[in-house]
Amino acid sequence: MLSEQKFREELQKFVEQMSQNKWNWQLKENGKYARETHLETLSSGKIVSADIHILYNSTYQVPTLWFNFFENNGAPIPFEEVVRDILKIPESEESDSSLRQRISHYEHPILGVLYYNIHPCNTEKIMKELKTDSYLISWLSVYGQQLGLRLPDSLKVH
Amino acid sequence: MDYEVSRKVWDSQIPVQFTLQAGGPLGDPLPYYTMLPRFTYLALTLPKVLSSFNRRENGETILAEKVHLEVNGAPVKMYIPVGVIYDQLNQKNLESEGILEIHVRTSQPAPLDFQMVSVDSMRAMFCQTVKEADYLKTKAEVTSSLMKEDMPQLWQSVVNNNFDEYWGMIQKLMDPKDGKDFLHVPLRVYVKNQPFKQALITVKHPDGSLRTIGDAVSEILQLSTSSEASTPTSESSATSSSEASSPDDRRLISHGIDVPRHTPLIFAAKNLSYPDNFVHIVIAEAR
Repeated sequence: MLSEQKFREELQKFVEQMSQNKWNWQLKENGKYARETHLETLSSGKIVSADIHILYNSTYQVPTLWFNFFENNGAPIPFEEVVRDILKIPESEESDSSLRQRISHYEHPILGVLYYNIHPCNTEKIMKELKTDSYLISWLSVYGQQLGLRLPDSLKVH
Repeated sequence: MDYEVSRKVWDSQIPVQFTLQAGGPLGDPLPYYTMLPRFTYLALTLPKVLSSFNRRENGETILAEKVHLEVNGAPVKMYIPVGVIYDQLNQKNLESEGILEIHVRTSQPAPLDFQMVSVDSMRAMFCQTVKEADYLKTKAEVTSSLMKEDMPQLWQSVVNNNFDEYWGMIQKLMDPKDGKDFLHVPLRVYVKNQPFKQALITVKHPDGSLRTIGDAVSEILQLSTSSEASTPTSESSATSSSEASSPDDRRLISHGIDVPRHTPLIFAAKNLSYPDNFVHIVIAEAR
């Protein structure tokens, strides 16, 4: 578990470290969450924009990844397409631990619209098994990877 | 849990009118009128509405992916309980007396702030909400001990409007066998034009007395204003005026009734929750 205050401190530090490495994360709403956007080219050649947020979840008291993908006219990309073409989760993966089962739409607590989130219900359990200096960085090295988010080498957890 | 209260809450319905602006040589079809249980979702109702509109001879078939829904000219959230949508609007401006008017529009492209929600996606959101509620109540002790088929069964009771099935399930979630108190109460508070607010609220005050629903709502609103205050943005200062009204002026609306402020929070949690296991309170200005 991580207190909200600690989360904000670590988030601010994280964003600073990322910008030193020229990675484009920004603090939003005076430090309530961090945001990163980039363009992704899919194997079909289509270009989509990815919008990724790190928020504090006050129920589970852990960080949570929220994300969405958009067409260039701003329309959100339908779930099936996100799963198949962007996250590339194989259809055969139907087990409960599959990422497919742990992602769904939910109301973004700050924007008030539907975004995808990776369910935070197992985060605490997973984090208990990791020992490290920064909760946020080790959390992101587990959860960010599932979205194809990378960390600069200097921040990698060994 | 109180069977009579739960049954009344389950049975309460609202009148809804769906209109379709189809254009074309046939003109618009007649509106579709229905009574909807307060606990249901537009995501579940829309397929029935469209199949009624599509029954017209020679009419063009209207697909769910091609429509968007509006109430009072604004996009509507298909994933919050219909009763909450109704309570949010009922304060002043239901278009005609007491009927929720939903406009089904086919104009393309759909406005970007509307989000179509499929039945599958609705089910996933519902299950995540029930799990979150149980995490608040019992640190997920109940949901993790539930059988694999239990959660789909709770959802099916909502889909099929089957109270008996619901009652069997909901008691497991609301009256856990070990008889322990809830740690926190799943409560969402709706202030006009803002995302819902929730916080970690315990059943009792530190001195052991029961927290009331009035206390809980005030605390949630206070927490959200204080965190806005530390983050002064033009948006938050513009939208927080409705929270500034003094606590006694606020009306707490759920299931269409003014919930007395002195209602114990634990009573509300067990008996006034929607099937997603959250109490949904809409804040209205005093009359």
